[in-house]
Formats: sequence, structure tokens, C-alpha cells
Amino acid sequence: MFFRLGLIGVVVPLVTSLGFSAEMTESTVDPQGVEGSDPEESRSRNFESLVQTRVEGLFTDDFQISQWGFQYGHRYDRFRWDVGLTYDTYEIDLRSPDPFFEPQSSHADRILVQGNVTQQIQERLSWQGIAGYYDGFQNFRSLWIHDYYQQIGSLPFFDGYPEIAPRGYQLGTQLRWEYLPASGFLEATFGYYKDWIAPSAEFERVTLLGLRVIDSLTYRLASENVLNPRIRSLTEFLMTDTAGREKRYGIQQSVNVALGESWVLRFQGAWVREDPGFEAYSVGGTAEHELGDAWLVSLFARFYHDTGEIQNSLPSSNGPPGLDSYQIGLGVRWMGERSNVKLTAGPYFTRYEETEIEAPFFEDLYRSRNWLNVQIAYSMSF
Amino acid sequence: MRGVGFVGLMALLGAGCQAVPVMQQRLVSKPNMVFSDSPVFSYQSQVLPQIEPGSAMSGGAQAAGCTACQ
Repeated sequence: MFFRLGLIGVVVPLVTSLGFSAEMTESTVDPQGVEGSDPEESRSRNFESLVQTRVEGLFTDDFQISQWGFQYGHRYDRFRWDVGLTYDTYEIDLRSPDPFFEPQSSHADRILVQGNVTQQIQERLSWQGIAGYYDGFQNFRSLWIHDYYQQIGSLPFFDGYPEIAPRGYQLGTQLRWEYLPASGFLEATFGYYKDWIAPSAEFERVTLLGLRVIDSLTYRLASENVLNPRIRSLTEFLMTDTAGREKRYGIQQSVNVALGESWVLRFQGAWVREDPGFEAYSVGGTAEHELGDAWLVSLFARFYHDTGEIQNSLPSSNGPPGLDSYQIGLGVRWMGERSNVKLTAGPYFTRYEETEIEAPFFEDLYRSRNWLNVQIAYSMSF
Repeated sequence: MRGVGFVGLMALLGAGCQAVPVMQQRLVSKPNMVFSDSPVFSYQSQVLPQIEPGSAMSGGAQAAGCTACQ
């Protein structure tokens, strides 16, 4: 599946970009129906298109997850728009210590379409509108839990599990203010999300279902700053207000340091908390070295920790226990005049905390695993 | 939570009150020094948040935690 997606990911943007190139050439030569327009004048109109595509895979013995993304965007003077398509696939093998559950293999996919428009309102102020819709499970964990509930619910002595069509949409808006010329940027973002999900279930003579629809509001405040000629930083605050839950607060700090002409270090740390007891943090870094004019190689490492989401009082909680994960990898990037390519790969280790649950039906889903993570990305402007 | 707010406010206020002249920004303007959504220059995985419920910073039910648990 991954290689099939990789082929699509490379061929589609090339074919598409060639098509758009022809269209763009016509527009550039004659942007306003005036024959023989000066190329310099066309360039001054800041007329540019961008094609980007990305394929990412995360693999282990019994779970294979892949994601392909494609984006086409266009900028003309102070207005910019882009549309994107994301396609996720999940291939999973389900096992459970539940004596009534028969092991099975499942496959599902998800399609997400998203659009953005950005308008520069004033010289230093721009507005962005965001809208998106998806159809399918948001992640492989939801698919696992849904298929488990479907099989158990279909046992003759239970009341069944409803047919679920997971989907959702998002709406968002953002203001970006350049409060210091080329040195300080403030962003305020608001988002609304509505998700139809596979609800949790307790099977008795009547099936007890958890939430089927989730409404979320997100508020984000970010400040990007050039602190000195070698350091750029990004500070982000996020608050998420989800129906039926306590508010979640998060902060993320990213710092990029140019050590010299050819070395760059990137650091990132994040912390998240949600009452009554969920807490998570992560730290990571990337060292990147330029090899000549076009090639860069990078080495990255990251650690993540959370306290787990087992918070319901039911004997068979489907929330994950505490998790430690470790990621390391190598990357290579080629940067041309108008095209860029990136490839990264490395192992990813997940280590779940041991818990004492009365009915550990989901312990195989939350088993510690060793994964392989691969990313390929390509972009071209014209 | 107040502590986090205070730290955040101080970070924002201390983030930069003086502009660095553009002519001194050659190194911080290189493509790999800029914070970008471009998949070629983004360093974050789009798939790992499926496993790490506390790592996403972009909202939505997935970012807000598990999508199927209570």
C-alpha cells in the first residue's frame, strides 16, 4: 500500500503541475488580456503557484498506517488560496484476551479535503479562513475499537452495536500581525470541530453507548520572533474545549539556531494538561548540515511521555495507559531553484505503562511495539 | 494553571521587543530556519499523533484526546 501511495504521490503532482504550468504560462504572458506584457511586470504582481505532496508511513508487524497528502495553492498579490486532499489508510490485525472475540484483520481509509484562503488586509496584517471535511476514522485506534465493539455486539446475547459513519468538519479563522518588521509575528487562531465518532460501549441486555458526536473549540495564540541574527523562536499556546471534558491547555516552544553557514539546530518542547489527570510532554531536536548548494542531511531524535487516558470507571476502559515513545531518524533533503524533495526514515518505539485493569480487553491495542516511520515529501513553485 | 499562564505571558513578552534589521537576517531566513507548514520543511510527523494523544497542537477531537473512549 505504501509503495502504491508513493507512486501516486510522485506521479500525480508531476502530471498535475505540468498541467498547471501550461495554464500558468498563458496567464503569465497575458494576465489581463494585454498582449506582450512585460515579464518583469508580471513578476511584480507576485503571481505564484505551489504544488506539494507528501507520503508518510508507520509500520509494525500487525499495524500498517499510511497517509498521502496533496496540496495545490496559488498566490496573486495580497490574496492566496490553497486546497488539499489527504488520504489515510489503516491495515490492522485485531487480537484480544476477550474469550468471545475472534482475531480478525481490518482495513479502512479516510479522505480529508481542506481549503484555506488568506487575504492581506493591511501591510502587516493578514486574515486566513480555513474549512475542511473528512469521511472515515480519524485514526487506526478508532477503527480497532469500532471493529471490536461490532464483533462483540453481534453476539446473540447482546443488543448489538450501531452502524457508524465516522466523519467530521472543521471551520477556522486566523489573524496574523507582523508587529515588528520581519522580526515579530503574532497569530491568533480560532477553530470549531464537529466529529461523528465510534462511541465507546458497554454490552448488557441494552447496549450503553458513550458520546457519538463531539464538538470542540480550539483557541491558539502564537508568537514567532527573530531574537537575533542567528535565532528564530516560536511560542504557541493552545486551549481546547471539548464537549463533556475538562479544558485542555498546551504550550509548545520551538527554537531554531543557525550555528554557522552550514549547520542548523532545531529544538522543540511541548507540555499539555487536561484535568482530572492527563498530562503529556515531549522534547526533541534536529541537527541539519548543508552539503554543498543543494543537499542537506539531518539527524533527529524525540521523546514523548503521557500519563494515559484511563479515566472512566468502567471495568473495560478503552482509553490508553501511560505511554513513553522514542523516535530517532535520518533525513536527506534536496533543494532546487523551484523544487524541493525530502526523505526521512527511522525507528519509533512505543512503551505502554503496565496497568491493572479488571478486564484488559484492549491490551493488545496498547501493547508496546517497535515501528518504522518513513516520510517522503516534494514541493514545486512556478 | 496560573503558573503556566504566567510563564506563557513572560515568554510572549520576552519573545522579542526589538526588531532585528532585515540585512542581519540572512541566516534566520534560510528555508530550514523558517517555521513552515510545507511538508518538505516541516519536521513534525502527521501520523504519530494517532498514537500520542498529547502531542498534537492543532485541535480537533483527535488532538483533544481519544476519539472513541468516554
